[in-house]
Amino acid sequence: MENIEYGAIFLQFLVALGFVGVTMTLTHLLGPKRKSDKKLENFECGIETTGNARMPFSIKYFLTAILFVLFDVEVIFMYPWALNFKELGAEGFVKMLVFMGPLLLGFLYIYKKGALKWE
Amino acid sequence: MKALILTSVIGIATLFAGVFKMRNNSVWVPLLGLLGVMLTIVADWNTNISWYNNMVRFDNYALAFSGITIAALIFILTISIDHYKGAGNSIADIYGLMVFSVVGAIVMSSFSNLAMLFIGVEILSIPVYILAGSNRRLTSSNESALKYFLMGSFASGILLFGIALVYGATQTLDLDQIALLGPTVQSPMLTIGVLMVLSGFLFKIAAAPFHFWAPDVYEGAPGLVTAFMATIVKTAAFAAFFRLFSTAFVSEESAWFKVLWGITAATLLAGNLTALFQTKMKRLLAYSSIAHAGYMLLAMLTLNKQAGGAILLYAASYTLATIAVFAVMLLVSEAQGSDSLAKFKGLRKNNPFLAVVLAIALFSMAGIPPLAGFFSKYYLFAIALKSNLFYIVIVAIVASIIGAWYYLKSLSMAFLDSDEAPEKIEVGLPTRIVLIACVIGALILGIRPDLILHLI
Repeated sequence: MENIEYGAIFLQFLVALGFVGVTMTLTHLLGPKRKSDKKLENFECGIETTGNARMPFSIKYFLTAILFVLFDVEVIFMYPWALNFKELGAEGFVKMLVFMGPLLLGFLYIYKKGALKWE
Repeated sequence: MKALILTSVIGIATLFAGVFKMRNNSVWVPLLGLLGVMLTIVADWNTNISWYNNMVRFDNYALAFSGITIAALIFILTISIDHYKGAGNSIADIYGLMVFSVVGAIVMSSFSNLAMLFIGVEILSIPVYILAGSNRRLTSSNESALKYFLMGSFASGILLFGIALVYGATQTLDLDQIALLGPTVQSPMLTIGVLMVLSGFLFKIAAAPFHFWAPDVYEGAPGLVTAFMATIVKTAAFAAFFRLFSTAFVSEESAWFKVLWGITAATLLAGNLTALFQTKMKRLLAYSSIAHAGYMLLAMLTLNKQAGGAILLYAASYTLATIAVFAVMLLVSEAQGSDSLAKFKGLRKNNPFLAVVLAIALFSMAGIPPLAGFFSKYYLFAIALKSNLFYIVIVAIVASIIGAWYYLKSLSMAFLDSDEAPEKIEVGLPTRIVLIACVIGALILGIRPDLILHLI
C-alpha cells in the first residue's frame, strides 16, 4: 500500500519532468530558426539596449509587491480563524486582535513612512 | 517573559518615534525603555517560570544573558548619540532594528524548545543583515550585508536541517524531552542532526573553520554595527549554544566532543595567529573576537552545567572591553579618516583620556590582572582543567600569549611619540560616560569576579 502511494508521487515527478523535456525538444525541433544578432540578444523589446545592468532602478513596484505579499499572508491566517470563530470564542477573538494589532501598527508605519506614495 | 514582551513593544515604539515628530531624539525611546527592561529582569530574578507549554523558560541563566545583551545595547545606543549626530531620518529605524535584534537575543537565551531556538536565531540575524548594510552609499557596507546575508542564511538552513533531523530521531523539539530520550535513540539521524546544529552555531559564533566571513563583514559594516555584532550577537549565540549543548545534547557527547575539541584548538590558533598580521583596527578586532570565541568554547568542552557562570563572566568582561575599544576606534577613525593601526600612533599626546581607556580595555582583552579579562580567562581555564582538558588548556594559554602580543603591539602604537599624532578629539558626554562605565566595570569585575560568576 505504502509503495503505491510513493509510486504516484514518482509518476507525478516523471510527468512533470517529461512535460518540460518534451515541449522543449519539440519546440526546438519544429520551430523555425533565425539566428540574427537581434534575435540572440538577452533582452529584446524593440529599443536598442544601452548601458549596464548594474545601475539604480526604481523599487516602487517591488515595494508595493512585497507589501502586498505581507498583508496577503495575513488574510490567509484569518480564514481558519473565521471558520472556527464560534468554537474559539472570546479568547480566540482576543488572540486574533493581538495578531492583528501589531500588523495594523506595521501598516500605519509604512503609510507614515511614505512607502505607499507613488510620486 | 516581561523582558521579552517589553523589548518587542519598545522596538515598535522606536520605529514610530522615527515616523512621528521625534526624529532628532528618538534614541531616548529605546534607551529609557531598555533601562525599564533591566528593572523587570531584576524583578523577575529567581522566579524560573516557563511559558506557553514550555516554549521558553526564564530561569536565572536566561535573565542573566538577556541582561548582558540589553546592557550592551544600552551602551551602544548611548555611544550612538554622539556618533549618529545628524544622520537623517532613518536613524530611528536603525535603533528599532537593534532593539528587535535584541528581542532575538532574549529568545535565544531563554528557549526551551528547538523551534523557539530557530525563531530566536532568525529574529537576531535578520535585523543584523540589514544593519550591516545600513550605510547605503558605501560599497563596503553593501558588500558586508550581502556576504553576511548569504552566508548567514545558509548557516540558518543547516541549523534548521539539523533541528529537523533531531526531531525525526526523537519525535520531540522539547529540550528536556530530548535530554531524556536522546540516550535511548540508536539512530544515526540524531548524530547527524546534532552535528548540523553544531555547524550552524559555529558559524554564528565565527569559530574556525567557519570564521572566514567574519573579518570581511566586520570590516565593511558601520562601526557601531560591528560593535553590535561583536558583542550582542556573539553573547546571544553563546548563550543559546551552551544552553542547548549543556542540557539536551549532553548525552550525544560522543558525537560532538572530539569535533568541538579540534575546532576549539583551531579557533584559538587561527584567530590569534591571523590577528598578528592585521594592520587595520577593525580587522584586528574581528580576529580577536574569533579568538575570544575560542576561549568561550573551552567552557562547552567541560560538559558541565556549572560552566555557565564562567561563560557569563567571560561574555560580560569581553563585552565591556570590546565596547570601550570600539568607541575609541570610532572616535579616532572619524578624526583620522581611517581605522588603520598607524593612525593610532601618538594618541597619548593630545588625547590622554582615550589612550588610557584604550590601554585598560586592551589589557583586559589580553588578560592582564587585575582586570576582568584576566579572571574570566582564569575561571574558564580552571573549570576546563577540573574536567581534565589538559592539552586544550595548554593550547589556550599559548594562544593567549600570542594574543597579548598583538594587543600590546597595537597599544604601544598609542603610546609612541609621533609627529603625526591625532589632534585633540572631541569626546561627547554620552561617549565619555560609556567609556568610564566600561573601565569601571572592567575594574570591578576584575576585583570581584564572584559578583557575576556565581549569579547562575
